[in-house]
Amino acid sequence: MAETDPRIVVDGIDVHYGAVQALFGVSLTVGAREVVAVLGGNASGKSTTIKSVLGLVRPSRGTITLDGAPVNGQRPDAIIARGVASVPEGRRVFPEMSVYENLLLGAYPRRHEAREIAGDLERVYEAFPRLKERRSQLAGTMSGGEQQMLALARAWLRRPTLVCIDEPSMGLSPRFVDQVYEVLQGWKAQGITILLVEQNARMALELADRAYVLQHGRVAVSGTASDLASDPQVRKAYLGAA
Amino acid sequence: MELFLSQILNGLAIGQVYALIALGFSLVFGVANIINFAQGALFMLGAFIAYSAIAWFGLPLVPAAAVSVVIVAILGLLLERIALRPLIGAPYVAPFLSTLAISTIIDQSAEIVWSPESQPFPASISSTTFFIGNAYITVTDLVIFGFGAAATVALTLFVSFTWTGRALRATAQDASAAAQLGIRTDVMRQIAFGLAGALGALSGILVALYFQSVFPQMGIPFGLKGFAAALLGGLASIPGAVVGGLLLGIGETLASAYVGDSYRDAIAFTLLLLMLLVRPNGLLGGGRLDALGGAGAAAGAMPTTSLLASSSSQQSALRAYYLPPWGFLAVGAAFALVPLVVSSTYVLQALIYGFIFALLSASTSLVSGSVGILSIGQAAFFGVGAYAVGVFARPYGLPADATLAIAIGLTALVAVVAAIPLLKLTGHTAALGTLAIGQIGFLVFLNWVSVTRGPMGILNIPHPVLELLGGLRFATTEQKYWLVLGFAAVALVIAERYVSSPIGRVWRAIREDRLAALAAGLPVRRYILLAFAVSGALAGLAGGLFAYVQQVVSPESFTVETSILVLTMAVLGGLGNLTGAALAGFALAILPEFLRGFAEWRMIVYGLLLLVALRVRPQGLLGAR
Repeated sequence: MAETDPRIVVDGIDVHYGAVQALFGVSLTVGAREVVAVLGGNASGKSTTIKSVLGLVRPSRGTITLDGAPVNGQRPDAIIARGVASVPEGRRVFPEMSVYENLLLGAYPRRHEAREIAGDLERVYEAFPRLKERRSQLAGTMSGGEQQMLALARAWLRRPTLVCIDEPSMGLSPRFVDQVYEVLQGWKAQGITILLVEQNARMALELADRAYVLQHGRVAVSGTASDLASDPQVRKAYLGAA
Repeated sequence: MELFLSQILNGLAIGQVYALIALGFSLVFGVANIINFAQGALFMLGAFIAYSAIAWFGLPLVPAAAVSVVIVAILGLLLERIALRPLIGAPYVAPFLSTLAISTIIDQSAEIVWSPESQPFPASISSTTFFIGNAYITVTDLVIFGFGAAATVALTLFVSFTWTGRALRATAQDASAAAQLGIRTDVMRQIAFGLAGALGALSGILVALYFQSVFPQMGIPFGLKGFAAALLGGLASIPGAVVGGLLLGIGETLASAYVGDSYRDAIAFTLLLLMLLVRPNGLLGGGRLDALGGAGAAAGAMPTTSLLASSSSQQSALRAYYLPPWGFLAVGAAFALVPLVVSSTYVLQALIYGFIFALLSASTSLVSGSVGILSIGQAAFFGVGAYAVGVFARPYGLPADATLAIAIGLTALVAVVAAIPLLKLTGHTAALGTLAIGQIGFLVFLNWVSVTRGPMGILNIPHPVLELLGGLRFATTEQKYWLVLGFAAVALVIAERYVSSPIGRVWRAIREDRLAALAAGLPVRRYILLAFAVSGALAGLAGGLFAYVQQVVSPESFTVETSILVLTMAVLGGLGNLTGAALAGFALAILPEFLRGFAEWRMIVYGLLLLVALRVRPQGLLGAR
């Protein structure tokens, strides 16, 4: 991580939902071209962390910097405009729009580059023949796994340098989980920086360079993915080892 | 047969206009998840601004229409900015009431600027008639249909094939996901409101051309019809709004041709209620999306959770201040002493109206607050009570005990029957259902001449006589003061006992989470009907007393303005808090007595009060319960 400046620095943020506090002084960094996973159980604050980075919730304390500039309190569109894409929790494709329109909306921030978008659409269709087949079908009528592929492809059409991904394996069959991670491995190979929130620690640690484990809104453990994968406590709590 | 076909062609033209109003509702509902009550006011302004551009500045029709569309579109943007943006994250009920307040202010301002009278629209299209086979159609109809259809097609192309249009639809389907793609959802909201304003203005001008007249009160009935059309089509769907508008247009044109023109609106609103009863999801808006777990926006008006809850976060505990049931007797006893020191009939008269509105406001607070079905039709129940006394007191010569009992019983019954179509509904949709009930009530009072004597009203209602008290007669103002005070205090004690009892707890449970209440095995329907019965009884009593005090009953006392006024009172007092409702009702009813000379500003003041209250203290003065 030392050779370049970090892309994301989260420094001691607190987040409140009304009277409930979800994060307590969470700090993390994501370096350039790095894949960082945030792990943890239900209600540990993983999703809140990624939502804070995307500007969907506003920390009450602490700072978040993106490429050296503070982004606290900025709207999501301002953050997305800086080369960020998001794959939201639960896929969140637009159910009453066609697959084609969903993909196109991924490219919304660079909507004036018509020719590039057309070329990138072709590349997506090549990589995901399923989506090509179904391009005029309503997204809401596809299976969960297909919707997840669509959400990934939609984020890729942003041509981001950094992607925030919230629980990409949630509710998917093992076959689709493998497919999702194949896609993410490809992105990693392309040099895209990834901040990944995941409950499926085994898959996430295979992909990630480093990881943070959240518990009750605090960072409990952090380290390289291989260290965490062999940490007895993490193995016991999150990897199902005896 | 020729008449039938001609009516259908005619209905298509006006239906196309309803479709445009409906599209305004659908756009805003889809993108902002708000039913914009002020859509009718924008519609009316569209017609009047075009009217002024022609009549005052001598512009030809087309430029006048263009000016009007632009101005009203800007007003739509302002509406979002002033009345709605500050309320993001506020209780669910707040944005709706906010548009209601704005609409009241706009309507009343229009009456001040353009006078309350109906005025002929100064432009027309040739009245040449065409024959299609034996059916006829006028050029006006054709032009209206053409313009309406062109606007619909343009809108459809816009949302289907432009980046902004796609972003609008994306925001409507999933605002949070749209934001994560870099779409500025706040700008999309503004665009939706601006478009709704433009559509409203255009439809207002077309209606002015169709009926050749404009009047400041046109906003509410046409707004309500546009909403009916939108609902018919499933509320968030563009083709649905068009189909809904056309069906409504044809339906009411046929009704006015075969049943009578005075029933045109009554039939349209009855259709709306029937629709709510049979297919609350609309003709085209089935449950398909719910089954797939998608499209929060298309599924319904609002979650079935509390109107008072907010989407943003947990509620912090709010304190409510209220009297125990016997407290109303204590306050009543204190007020009973007033005539001993105050002899001015003017003051006593004002206090009497204060008591009546305290009762009416409490009746509104009971359904709107405790059960969570926002009532914008309470004036209809008030009116039923008043007409019951009006009809039975003079021709039948019944004593006040009997007439008031009839007023209470009959109104409770009417309220229960009126509540049946609302049983499946929550949130905004239920509120618009009550608005339709209020409108139907008013139209019945106005048009059922054989019973209500129509616009003339029932005059010379005799002084009340209580047979149970040995034929005691209440003729002077002091005597009537005591009569009204006594009935109001006792009725409020009973109502407060309901609200504080286990029954009241069930009502609040239904309000907070209807699904949970059902899952807990509570007979939800029965409890809702009971709430309407109690509320109706209170409103009926208020109406009966009102008839005896006024000695005249006429329809203009029971317009939607009255309904909005009493709802304002209930909100200001704190929804579900009868003490607050009674206090606010009393205070707001005697307030205009101090503002004499500003009578026409009254509704504007109320609207502003409501707006300020929503911003500063949405839980009401004494706190919602």
